[in-house]
Amino acid sequence: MLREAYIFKDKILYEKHFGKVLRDFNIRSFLSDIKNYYLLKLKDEFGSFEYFNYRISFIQEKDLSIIFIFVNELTDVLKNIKIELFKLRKAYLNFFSDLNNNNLDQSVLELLNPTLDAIHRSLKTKISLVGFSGVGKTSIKNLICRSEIPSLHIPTISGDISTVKIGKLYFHLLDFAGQENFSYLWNNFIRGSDTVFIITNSSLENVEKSKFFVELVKEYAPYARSTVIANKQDLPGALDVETIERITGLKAYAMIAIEQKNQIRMMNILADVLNLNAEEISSLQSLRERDHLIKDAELALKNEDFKQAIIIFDKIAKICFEIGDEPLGKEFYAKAEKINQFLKCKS
Amino acid sequence: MPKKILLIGRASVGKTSIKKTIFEGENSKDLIIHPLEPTRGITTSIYSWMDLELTLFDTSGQELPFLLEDEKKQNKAFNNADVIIYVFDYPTWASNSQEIKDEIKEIENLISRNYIEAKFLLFFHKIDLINKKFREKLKLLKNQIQELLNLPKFRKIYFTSIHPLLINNTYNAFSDILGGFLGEIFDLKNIFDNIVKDFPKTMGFITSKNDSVIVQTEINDFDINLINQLHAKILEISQSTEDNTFIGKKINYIDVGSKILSMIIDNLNQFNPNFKNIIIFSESFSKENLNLLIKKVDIEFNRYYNEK
Repeated sequence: MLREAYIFKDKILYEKHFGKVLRDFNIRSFLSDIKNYYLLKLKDEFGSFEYFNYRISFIQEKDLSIIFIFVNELTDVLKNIKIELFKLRKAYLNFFSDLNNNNLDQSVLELLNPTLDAIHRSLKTKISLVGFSGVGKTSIKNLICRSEIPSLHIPTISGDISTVKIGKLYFHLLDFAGQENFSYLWNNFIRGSDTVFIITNSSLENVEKSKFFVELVKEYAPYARSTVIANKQDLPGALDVETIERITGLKAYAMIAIEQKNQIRMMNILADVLNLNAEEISSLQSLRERDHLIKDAELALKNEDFKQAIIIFDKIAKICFEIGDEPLGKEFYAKAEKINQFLKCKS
Repeated sequence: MPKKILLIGRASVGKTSIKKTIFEGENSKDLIIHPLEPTRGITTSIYSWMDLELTLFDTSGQELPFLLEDEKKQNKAFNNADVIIYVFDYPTWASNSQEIKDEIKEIENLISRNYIEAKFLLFFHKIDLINKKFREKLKLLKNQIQELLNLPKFRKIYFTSIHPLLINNTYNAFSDILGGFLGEIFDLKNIFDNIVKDFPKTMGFITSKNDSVIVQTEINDFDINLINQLHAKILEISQSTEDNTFIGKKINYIDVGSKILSMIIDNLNQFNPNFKNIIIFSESFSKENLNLLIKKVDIEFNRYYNEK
């Protein structure tokens, strides 16, 4: 996944962020070091190096003395990063090469936002949901995104790959629904993953069995972030999170996926694991806002302030669509319509 | 048979405002300062454009997801549409380009499955919000949009706005779209194209009585930026022809963008009261050529109208 992008001359001309980086990781402080060192030394235009758990890649435009920099996950393929950096440089030169560089800043360069959004989508992060059948992978998938963008559908023998949108960010979601018989195929899928969620129904037997996935990830996706989702915490005999963490050796999060109200919690978990700014997953903020608005709407109806209720329901519907929850959005929109009709009949 | 035009796009993108300014003559400045309330459902209106009767279907942006899924609503909106216009605006492009991409793809699939006779095209709206430096580089923006949206080459994009200084772009867009339905305009364009093509680096325009361009000869030697500048010049000239310093087959020299062009202009409303002027621009300064050109056009147009 592309985390950050910069265009740097003597100062930052343009930056776009797609996620948090390490708290003390401040690339801005050494952007000019990168530029000076590589512009002077490097005969090739393209360079890349690993830094903590990120990969920093860059390409320069010598004539304009500009450097383009990407901060990626270690799991991203270098060849692809290079291709996308070339695309960014090309777009920049198309639009701005003849403009006076002194007047360029973020507001002018916002024309590059679509280019960068397309690049981010190309380098999108792969999230894998693994776990034995019956642990609740589908429920978890539904919590993450109720409406997916129809994309590849590989037959169920090997798994479902869909593109999901969280806020404005795109992810590949790989679901290994129901093919324990073909477990030897799982390696290939895990191999491409940036993040792996190992889902368990929190029973002792299942948690023990799920250690198989822990080993699989260690071997085939060592740089991926892996986490356990301890689902079905409401069932009797469910192990608690600390115990599961001890058995698997990984961080675990408690979950009851069939309860819709846990959607915010699931989003929080995602933000945590993927290291996204809560603002980046606007859905997180939106979810909170939505809950507030639902309460406001109830109040408005109680006070028979119908006009206000319509306005609020419209807002809620809009938020639902923005976060990709179309079914709920339609419900609220229909509610607004109903009250509208009712008011029309009254007058 | 009236022609059916469908306007679709996300909420607040400007569909209803386009309808109100272009077809109902509302003041665009007011609409920019006091935006309209969101449209609900589908509203149908009937208008006349030159000799065409139009039905304009304006849809709700908030309900776009419903429209794309509900077959009944879809049918009402899309069935028998002659022109389907997807409107998106510059601010949304700058921040949500991938969503627009997905939306357009979904609509393209829908149209190619069920409504294949319709012409599908795009309005890139609110270009008044683009930094001035880039309004001259619309071609680059067009390339970016075509590339990132993965559009087929034949998919037309019009750059539009209702801002008073740029609204002529929107008028011209509709003229271009609708002109194809009027046999007369279609024929005139063909005749005009045939004559102009023998004259290099020359381009011809016909304006309507409300000063928009209804015919434009094929673009070969002139690039899109120059053409936009010519449109602005034509508007200027067209609006000032009460004070008729230009007309009368006299050759004038004008300064447009980076070029100096020769220009000849004449009246055309003797053929059809909906027409105003014919204007020809050329990089060549040969008087004989230009006079020859306008004479040819005169002869051919007269012949066309006599035969009708």
